[in-house]
Amino acid sequence: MKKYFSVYRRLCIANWNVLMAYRADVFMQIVSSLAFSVNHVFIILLLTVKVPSVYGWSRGELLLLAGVYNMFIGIYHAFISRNLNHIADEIYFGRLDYVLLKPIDSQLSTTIWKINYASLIRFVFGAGLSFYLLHDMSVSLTVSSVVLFFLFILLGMFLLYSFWLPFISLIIFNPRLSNIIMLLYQLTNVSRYPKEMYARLPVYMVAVLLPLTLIITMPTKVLVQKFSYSLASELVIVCLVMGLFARFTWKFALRHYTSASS
Amino acid sequence: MIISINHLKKYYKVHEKEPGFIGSIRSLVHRKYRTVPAVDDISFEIGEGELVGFIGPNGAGKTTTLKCLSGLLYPTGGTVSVLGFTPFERKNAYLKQIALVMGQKNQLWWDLTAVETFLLNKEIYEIDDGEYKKTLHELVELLDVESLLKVQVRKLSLGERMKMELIAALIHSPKVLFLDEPTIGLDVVMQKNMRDFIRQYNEIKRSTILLTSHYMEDVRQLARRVVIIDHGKILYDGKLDELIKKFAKYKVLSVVLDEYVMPDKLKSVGDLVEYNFPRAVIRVPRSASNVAAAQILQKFPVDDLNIEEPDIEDIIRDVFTKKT
Amino acid sequence: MRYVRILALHIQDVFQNRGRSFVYFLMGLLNPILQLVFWSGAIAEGGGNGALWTFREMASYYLLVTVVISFLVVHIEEDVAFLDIKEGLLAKYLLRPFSYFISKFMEELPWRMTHGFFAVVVFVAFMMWGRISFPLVGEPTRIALAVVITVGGLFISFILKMLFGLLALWTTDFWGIWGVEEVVFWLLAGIIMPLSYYPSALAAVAYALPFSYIVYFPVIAVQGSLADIEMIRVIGSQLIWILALSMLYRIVWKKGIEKFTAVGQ
Repeated sequence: MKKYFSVYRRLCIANWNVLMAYRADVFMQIVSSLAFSVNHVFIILLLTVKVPSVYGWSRGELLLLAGVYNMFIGIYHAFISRNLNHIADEIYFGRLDYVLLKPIDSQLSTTIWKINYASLIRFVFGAGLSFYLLHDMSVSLTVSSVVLFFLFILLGMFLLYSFWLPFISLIIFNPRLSNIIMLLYQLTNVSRYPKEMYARLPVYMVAVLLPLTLIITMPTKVLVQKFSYSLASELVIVCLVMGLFARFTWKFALRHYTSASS
Repeated sequence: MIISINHLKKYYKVHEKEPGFIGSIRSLVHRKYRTVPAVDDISFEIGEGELVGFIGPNGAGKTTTLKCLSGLLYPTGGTVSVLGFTPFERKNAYLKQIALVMGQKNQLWWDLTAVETFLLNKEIYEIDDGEYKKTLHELVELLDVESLLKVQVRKLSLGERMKMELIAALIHSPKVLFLDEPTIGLDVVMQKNMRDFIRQYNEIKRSTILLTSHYMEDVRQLARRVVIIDHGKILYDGKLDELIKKFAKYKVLSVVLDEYVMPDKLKSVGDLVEYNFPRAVIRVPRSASNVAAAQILQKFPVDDLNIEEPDIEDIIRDVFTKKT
Repeated sequence: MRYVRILALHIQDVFQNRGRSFVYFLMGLLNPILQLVFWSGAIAEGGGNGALWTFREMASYYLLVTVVISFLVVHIEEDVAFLDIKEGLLAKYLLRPFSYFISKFMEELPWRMTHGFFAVVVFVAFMMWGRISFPLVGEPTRIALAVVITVGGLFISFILKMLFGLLALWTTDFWGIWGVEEVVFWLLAGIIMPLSYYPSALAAVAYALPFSYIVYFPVIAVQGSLADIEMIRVIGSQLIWILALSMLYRIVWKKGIEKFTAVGQ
């Protein structure tokens, strides 16, 4: 455990140093991240120009969903998604070797290796937007709701990671499908919309998309005091199942990793 | 034995596609596969502190063998044991004792100084501060890179980067070192530096080293024992000078003449490889080299005569092309 | 003839990467489908302020957006910026007696054809599965005009993306620029929803910029929602954009090549 903390501390420093090595690029990365955040809010505003309420969610609640989404995705892109992107490249170019040669769990090391600090701006934007909307809706926060909110954010992050990893592992079998990571970025957009929206889809589609529909809806409902135990237990069960499945697929795929030739 | 390989096999299934658009369509419907034996039933052992040259042409199975030994690849068959471990189980205790350096791949963080990667590896390999400083100091001195420690990796030359890669790979003082073409792409001076370092490292640390290379000079300078592999099979495993005796069917007589002699007369002694008066190079069967030398001394005005072994590169080339 | 042979080789290459191509297609399919699901609920709940299209019209719009994105929205800027400029592969193009612009067009076209094929299959499948007849342009002259608008959209898309890619010659971090470009494109091309639904000020901005001529106008032209005179006006605007962007490309290319130094491996 101590070893992993030391390694992670060192990785945080190294990634910070990389950021500082290219200070001019940081500005553009922040602008780009903010552009995606603002774009998301814009989309909700545009979609609700003609329909102020849909699927039982008011415009304000849909915007709150956008705020929570940005908080979530800011942390996810900062600490996790960039690594999965990196793994996809490493597999495609046969460079996973050095990862596998280190005396550290390969799944963990590939997940924590890179940190994109610039993405945290989305968390800041999302937090600001959420606070503003909650105040506007006269919703008061309690300690327990905040704790529960962050707990579900963490669970949601674990769930999204467990959803992505099996797809990444697929690349080991077919390196040409390394662009699947870009599809995953798009698929994550499913979580921008309320879970209720997907009830209209066929059951087989809902089954596949279920993890994605839970990750943002759940913590948002906690904030607007629409928390339900059944939904919470759904999230926990799906987390457990997906987590085990992700681990299994990663280990299974590694046995078939052939590396690039010299 | 530190390294023990028994009937190791690694086969790949490759898809064969005919050229052209029709071939692409045909492969959609009917896929043809072929099994390629990258490593085809090889066995050998390496003792502690040995420095073994592992040579073969491109596609012979050298890198595949190294990757099986380091645990990157799962063998199709046979058994592999390194330091008492089964490599493909990739136990942390095993990984802490080995290192694989691949000439064309890197683990250094491109945008940072090499020291950042060393510090990261220090944590991963759980090296304590004192040992880290001591090992780093030794390696930096051996490779003479003190002035480069604070330079961004992307700004280093290829040779300088290779040196840093070596330090990153050796910072945890591995007992077994797999070097996959470590001098590839380096200039002659840097190649010599690398060889000197590897030799010194082997002598000081008594680490077991398995080295692959296309440069015969690497093998000649470093390895007393060579393993030759081709098409996944071992062709030779033994001392380098024994290789010469076994596979070289001829010797080379290097002659310096006092007076000009007609080439046809020299050809009567053996195979005249080169003649640039006063120097002539004649190739003769190994068993007849002494007789041929005596003949030359008797018949021709000779200033100097040397009986030499053929160039190791020529011998190995002949082994690969099966001229022997 | 050599252009045909070169194109055939690139088609073969894309065919070998059909799995990858299908994944790219799915990326383009996802967001319009999400938007459509959103609207299906909104329409079913009766809507709010102002008139909404029917589900049939919305489905037609978003499915056509998918088809148009697949056929017309080019992604060559990533190749240009990352492979050619950052990795230095541009050098190999410069050594050939062949235009870089045409080379990249030949590389991109097969991807558009493949994605477009997948999109058309989805479009037809949706029509047959849903037993819905979508509004599509009918008369031969209007079909011809719609085709011209679509081809114009492809050219604008290609030249614009090539220009974006060349910006990598002057920046160290292209991802930042790419992110902003993606956001602006999605907002103003009519992918999120029909531009006619936008607030008038924003719609005016969208109509004035080239992005709407890549997606929105080809979609509504194929839907048959544009009058003949409007189609001709759109074609005129596309021609102006193609001319302006081509001239800009020439200038940027000339300046860019002066600056370009191949990166050492």
